[in-house]
Amino acid sequence: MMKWTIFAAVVICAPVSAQWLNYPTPGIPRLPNGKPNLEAPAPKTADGKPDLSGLYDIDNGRLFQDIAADIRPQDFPIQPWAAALAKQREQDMRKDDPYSHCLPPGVPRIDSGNRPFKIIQTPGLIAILYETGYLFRQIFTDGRPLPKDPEPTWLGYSVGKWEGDTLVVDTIGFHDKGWLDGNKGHPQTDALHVTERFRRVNFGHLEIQSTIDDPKAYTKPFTVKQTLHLLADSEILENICNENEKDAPHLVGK
Amino acid sequence: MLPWAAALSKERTEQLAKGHPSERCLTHGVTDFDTLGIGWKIIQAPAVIAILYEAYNHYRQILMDGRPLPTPSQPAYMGYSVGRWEGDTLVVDTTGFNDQGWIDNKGRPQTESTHVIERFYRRDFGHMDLQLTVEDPAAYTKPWGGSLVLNYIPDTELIEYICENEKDLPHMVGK
Repeated sequence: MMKWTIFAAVVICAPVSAQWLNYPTPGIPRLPNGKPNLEAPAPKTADGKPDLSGLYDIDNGRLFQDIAADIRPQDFPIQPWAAALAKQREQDMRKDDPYSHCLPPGVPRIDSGNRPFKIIQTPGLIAILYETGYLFRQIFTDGRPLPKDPEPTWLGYSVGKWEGDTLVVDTIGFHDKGWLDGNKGHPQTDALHVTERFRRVNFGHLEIQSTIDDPKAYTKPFTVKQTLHLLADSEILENICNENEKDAPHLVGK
Repeated sequence: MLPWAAALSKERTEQLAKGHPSERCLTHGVTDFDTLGIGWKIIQAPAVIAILYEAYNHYRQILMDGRPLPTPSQPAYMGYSVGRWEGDTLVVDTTGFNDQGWIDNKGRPQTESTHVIERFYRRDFGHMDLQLTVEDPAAYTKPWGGSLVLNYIPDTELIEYICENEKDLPHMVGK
């Protein structure tokens, strides 16, 4: 005879307030049901500029793997050598993608990562804290010019200025080791100049339009757009790549 | 230190810091970063104070919105930090560490019960007093720590520092 054993389900509840992935973000507009009001107007800082501060998550991260995802192949202005290199990288299944080796995604690739980032806007400086790669970027809004002949880097050197409601960020000073995306391996060179246009449409929605201008690899500039939503009541988690990294020996390509 | 912690620290010191997480491009812990001697920038905003570390281009958030420390399911090298003001002193509590990080270059261990308290006091425009206290009954018989002075560096900027081209690792052979 079967014995029916009744299990009492013991639900162990850690207090929700103690878990940062669920902790309510203070001071944001909410609907009567308590959910964040993402359609509320975009906030402004004391000096009347839009306030981009907040934690955002990408709506659709397809650009991370293919920056030309929204461009018809016949319209994509890639030079033949760069197209050949990208084709080889794609066939090698990203085995040499820097991001696969815990090196930084560059700009604007890092904006499309499938992990959130936080913008902290202060007078003179906007910092972006990315969970992708656990890296920060600084965008100087204090009027300084872009540096002349800087040491090439993964994330470049960024300055920003306001054009109406849009923050226009110019970034130069890249080296050529970065990839513009993952699966397609579209190359960049040290001539890369990225212009990101950040616009906070309303409280809960951010648009970033990025123009990639790299005359050594592309015959003319091209522009891509991504949209993000505010990730309320949550937080970035520490994300240390290289920890227990076991994939590298398996990246053998074709 | 409790005997196991003292023994581990002694071995790590004798092995010339072989096994320090940074040799594999992992990050530093909180006290390790504080005392590293590589520049960092503090950005103070209403709900968060962010510290941008030149070392490895990593960062740390000190949440200032009154939330309690978490009981995390994911312990971290840098733990989880909350801050509050006591007069003119910023008091930062950090818990939720993993046991992989090192408290310092002498390999004093951190564990999942480590609690670090930092007291930041900006004495004048160019000088910050930082008092560090480490509490961890699993490793130390009582709280311990020290203080240091941080100097404001004007007219310069952090530069990118990505752990790449890592060639030291094969040389970390210890004694």
